[in-house]
Amino acid sequence: MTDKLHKIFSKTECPSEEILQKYLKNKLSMEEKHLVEKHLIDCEICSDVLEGMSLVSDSKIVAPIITDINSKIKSHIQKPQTKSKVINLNSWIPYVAAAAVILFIVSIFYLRQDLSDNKVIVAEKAKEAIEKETEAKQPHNNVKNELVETLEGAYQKLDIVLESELQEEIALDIIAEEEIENVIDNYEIPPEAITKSLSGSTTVGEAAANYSFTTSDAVYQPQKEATNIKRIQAEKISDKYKDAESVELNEVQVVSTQSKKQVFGNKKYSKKKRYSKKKVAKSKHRSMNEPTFGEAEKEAKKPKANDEIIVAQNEITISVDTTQNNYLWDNNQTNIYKQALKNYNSNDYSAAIGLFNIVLTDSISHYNSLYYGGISYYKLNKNDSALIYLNKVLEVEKGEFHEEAMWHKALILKRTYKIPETKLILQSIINENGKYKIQAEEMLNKLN
Amino acid sequence: MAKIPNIKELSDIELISEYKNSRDKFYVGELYERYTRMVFFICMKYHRDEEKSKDALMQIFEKLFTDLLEHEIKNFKSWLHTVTKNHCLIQLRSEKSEFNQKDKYQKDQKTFVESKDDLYLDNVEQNNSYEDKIDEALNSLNKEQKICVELFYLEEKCYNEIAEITGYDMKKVKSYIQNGKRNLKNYLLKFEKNKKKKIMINGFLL
Repeated sequence: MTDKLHKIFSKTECPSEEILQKYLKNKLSMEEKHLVEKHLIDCEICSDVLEGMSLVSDSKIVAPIITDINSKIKSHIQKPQTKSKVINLNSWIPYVAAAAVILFIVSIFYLRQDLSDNKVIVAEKAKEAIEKETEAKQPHNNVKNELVETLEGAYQKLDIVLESELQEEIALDIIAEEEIENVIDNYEIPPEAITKSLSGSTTVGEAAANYSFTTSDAVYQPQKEATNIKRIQAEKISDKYKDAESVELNEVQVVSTQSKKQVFGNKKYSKKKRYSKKKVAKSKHRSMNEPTFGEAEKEAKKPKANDEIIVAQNEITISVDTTQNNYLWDNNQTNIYKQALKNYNSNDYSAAIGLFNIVLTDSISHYNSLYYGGISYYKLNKNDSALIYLNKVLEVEKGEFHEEAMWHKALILKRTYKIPETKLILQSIINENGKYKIQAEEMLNKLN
Repeated sequence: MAKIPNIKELSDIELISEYKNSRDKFYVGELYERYTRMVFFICMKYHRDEEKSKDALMQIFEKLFTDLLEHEIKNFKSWLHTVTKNHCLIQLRSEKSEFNQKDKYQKDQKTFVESKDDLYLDNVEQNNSYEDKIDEALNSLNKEQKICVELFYLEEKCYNEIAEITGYDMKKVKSYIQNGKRNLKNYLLKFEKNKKKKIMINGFLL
């Protein structure tokens, strides 16, 4: 029944001009002809274009006419004036301010680290170089003397700025971090130690504290002083996040399991740690009902694949990280998925797509949502989106809906006049000898 | 730093929006170039003359600068089709007094009957109730329409094949299919209306 309805009322995409030309010249197969005619019944634009095409005396004259028109159009217009774009200054202020602050801190840090150590050497070298040049080029003596004076003056000014601007607190933080970095660089922390410490904690603050204690007890025995610094640092983190009572550990685990190699093998440990903290803070809103650490660990061991899906119809661009798939589900997401399935089963595909996309926003590679979302798009004749979803489904080897996805992909390709591609995929379906084999054979015969 | 998008990568709607913001004709040029072939062929349909179609193509382009600012456009292609069609019809009408072109056009129109109505049934597959009614709807069609609709949509035959099978003229085949589909849609929508009425009455009685 649904099949009949679908066959009669489904929308098809506009064929290309090339296909319309072939249709006019009777160069299409019966199947392709039928597809074009089916579209023409419903699409006034294409039927007008086809009729216009049939009235052009020679199809070869079209290209020069269009080129001529396009050059006339170009003469009417100018290139876009970049200055004419209106910029909303209010929206830029916070970003500019943030950038300025970051730049200021980084420059102070850099200058203190490098310039303060090397400035005497640089100044001496510069002086020597200028003196040599002075000897070689007498006429420019005055100018170079001025340069030397300017350089020395600049260094003096720099000293004043550094002393006045660098606050004691910043300096202490830098020293503490350097010491921590030294400790971390010298000692590798076994991942089990972190895992163990995290699994016993219930909040991020506790986790941070445990993390420090475990690592210092198990690994840092010879470096008591360093571990004390680490402990103080960890307590600071603990204090900072003590209000995050509902934060679950699996997010921490995601960060630690995914990046522990980089984190502990990287000299920029402190920066990584800050990044991790941000991730943890971001996860504050997540529910308490997320799966336990053990499940998360298992999921994290699954093969990783980073990808990107661009959902054309909904204009959603999301980065894919399959390691974060599924295990971040909470009751809310489960309910959304269930509701999406309900809508799907009651043929309310638009509503179902909306909900599947919500699920996919958090669990981008959620297999079932990709499949049912793809079919929903197919049912709504949103072929491009359907193909994107089904292709993602087909990326999973031996997936539950592999055969269905293949078959629907073939239907979509056929619907969009991609006959050679349709034939290829039909052949694959036949070769796989699955449940769509007979239908695929029938369709392939028709296409041939 | 935010990446400045290539103008070729901008969608039609984005180009319109850029034009509205900057009033820079460059965006209209880019937009129109995407459809010059389509507009040319549509003009050809109405004017049946390459030179006139070329003139119309430029006139429509010049109209866009003001029209784009005045309208909220959601689908540029459809909108441009309507603008082109109206422009050509107005021209033909003005020519009528001099050359009696309109009569010629109307005569020609009869030979090219394509759908001017929306024959899609919105969300047809979302409505379970249509499923039971499609056979009934098909049976409600007259014999010619039913044969042609079934051969075309269910057997996936093309016009030529249907004309061969049935012996009907090809133009008639087209007409039967279009009218048949329209009748099917009307039948299903009428059924839907009655169903809603019944639900309302039942709700009222309860």
